[in-house]
Amino acid sequence: MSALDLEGTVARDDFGGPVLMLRTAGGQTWQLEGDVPPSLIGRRVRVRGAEAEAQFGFAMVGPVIAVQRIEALD
Amino acid sequence: MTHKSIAALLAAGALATLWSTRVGTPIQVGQGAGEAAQASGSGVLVFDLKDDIDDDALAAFAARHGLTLGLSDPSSRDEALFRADVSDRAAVIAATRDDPAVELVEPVVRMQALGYPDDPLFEKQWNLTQIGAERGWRAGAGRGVTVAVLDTGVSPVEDLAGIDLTEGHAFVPGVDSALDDHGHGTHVAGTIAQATHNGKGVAGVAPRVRVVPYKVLAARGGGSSDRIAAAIDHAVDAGVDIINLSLGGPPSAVLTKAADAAAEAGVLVVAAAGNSGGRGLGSPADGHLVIAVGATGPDGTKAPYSTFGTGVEIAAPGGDTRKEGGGILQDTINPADGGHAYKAFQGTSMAAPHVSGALAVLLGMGIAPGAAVDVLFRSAIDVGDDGFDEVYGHGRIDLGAAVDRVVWHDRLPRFVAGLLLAAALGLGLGFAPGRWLVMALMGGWAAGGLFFLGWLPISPGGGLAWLTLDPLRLAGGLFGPGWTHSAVFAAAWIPAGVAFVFGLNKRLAPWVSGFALGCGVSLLSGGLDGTLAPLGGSSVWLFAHSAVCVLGAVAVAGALRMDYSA
Repeated sequence: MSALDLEGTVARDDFGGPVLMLRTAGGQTWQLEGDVPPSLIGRRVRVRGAEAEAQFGFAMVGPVIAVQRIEALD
Repeated sequence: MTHKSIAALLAAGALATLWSTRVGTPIQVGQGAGEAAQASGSGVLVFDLKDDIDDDALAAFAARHGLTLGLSDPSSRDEALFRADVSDRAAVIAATRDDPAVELVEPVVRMQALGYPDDPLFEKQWNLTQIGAERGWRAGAGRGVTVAVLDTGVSPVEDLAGIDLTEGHAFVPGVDSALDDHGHGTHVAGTIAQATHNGKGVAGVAPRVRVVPYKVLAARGGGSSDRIAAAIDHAVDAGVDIINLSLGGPPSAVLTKAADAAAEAGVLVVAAAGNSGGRGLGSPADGHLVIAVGATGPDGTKAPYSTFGTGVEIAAPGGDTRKEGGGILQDTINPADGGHAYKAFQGTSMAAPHVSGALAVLLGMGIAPGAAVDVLFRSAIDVGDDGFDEVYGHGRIDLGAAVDRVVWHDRLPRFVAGLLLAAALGLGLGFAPGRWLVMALMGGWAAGGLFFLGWLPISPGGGLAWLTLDPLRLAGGLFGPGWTHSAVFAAAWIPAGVAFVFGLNKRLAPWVSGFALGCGVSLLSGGLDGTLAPLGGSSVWLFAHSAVCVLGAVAVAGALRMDYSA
């Protein structure tokens, strides 16, 4: 599966379980899966990852990206 | 005027009443929840305090206002829900409503004189009040209907005890049980079918349904399109009536095709619209035949996260946890300690089961799947732009109005027609008043059930509630879910059998004749207006069996008449 590089702001919400999201400047929302430090919530980040195999779930906020690396931009 | 003339007039009236169900009547848009009772004088107040209030702060609050507080329920400490007897409710409300410890304070509202339902946390389920769930409980509460819940699984938590919950099936690799290991699926199942009026916890929309769990999402909440599609196929083959999909993902032709195929097979497929807050539905909500559900908050308008766009058919309470008390409360598992907990969730995942439960109630009243959807859409409260829109679809569901619509536009005409036709037969044959009155009452009940008893304070499944079901439906229910929409029961077998066995008994003959005639009216009405749809909606089947019923009724009454003459 090809790697994805994305930039945006990390947000957290709860839809029957906590959901971490990346909101891009273009208005798209991605669901972040994997190790995302809580300190990055609300901050602009760059994410490298790949589309997760399990794309379906109850979060339904957008495509699921399995995070391989995440770093703050601000 | 002779008996025969009166009988002819009654029969004409009955047929005109039945015909009126075919031409239809203007749509009645339902009304929202009523205002809470006004407080005056002494009584009980309920205090919804800050959830994180500790014991010291609680004691200080009670001391400040001279209150003796008790938990609303032993399980309501986490929700900080307390009761207090006070001598002047208005004064105490005025004194406490701005206290920093208080989120809400109001008089305890008894929903009925008998304290119905008695689930102590029902007071926090604004969502059920908003959709008029109580009328659904009094209309059979979904008895005889099977709902498949495709989710993280369903566990028999404490408050689900007593509902019809099967073991279910697992479609997650390495998992062989449909038990919930997350909490989402049990919460969703609770909204559909939570044990209601059991003196415990919370209530659900359709507590008499059978729930079949399908575990398609793993413990972390993820799943794949092909396995969800396989679970849908399995549920269709198993004969479920409704599939609830509080899940979604990107467009998937495989999953959407499976959902649409299920709907084509006659199963009602309900799916959450999504939680992106933006435009554009994913799969399976994007299926043309799938009922995609948007979410509303406690104020009845769009929840900020609810996905909108082409395909949203209807909206229902999904909650908004950013508002105090704004989530959808249900009992679910607590993975932290292996026990259970009452948790408030939000999401279109929570909205979809309101629609599934509402459709179950309508199916349980004996109407066909297509008619149930039509009734729910037509009785929805128009919110947002006038008419159909891409945020709310047909509007926010109003189960109370939908039940009313079935009763007054389907059951009442059938009841009246059965009553009048049976009375006409008895009068026409010159029976004494006692006999033709029995025939009339049996005809009315068999045709439409004593629906008006549904307004009496009787619990679902108990007391006299079964009287409000028509007997063909009732007989189907005895054999369990799945049978009630079977052609076996939408047929003349039962009245014909009763007529054969008891028809020559002089004392029973008027009862039997009225019963058979009423069943005939019920089948005729179902064939005329499409609300009965066995065998793929065959009107010919219904008309033929109606004729058999009518002939049986006339034969029994005629034999009784000849016995007089002899």
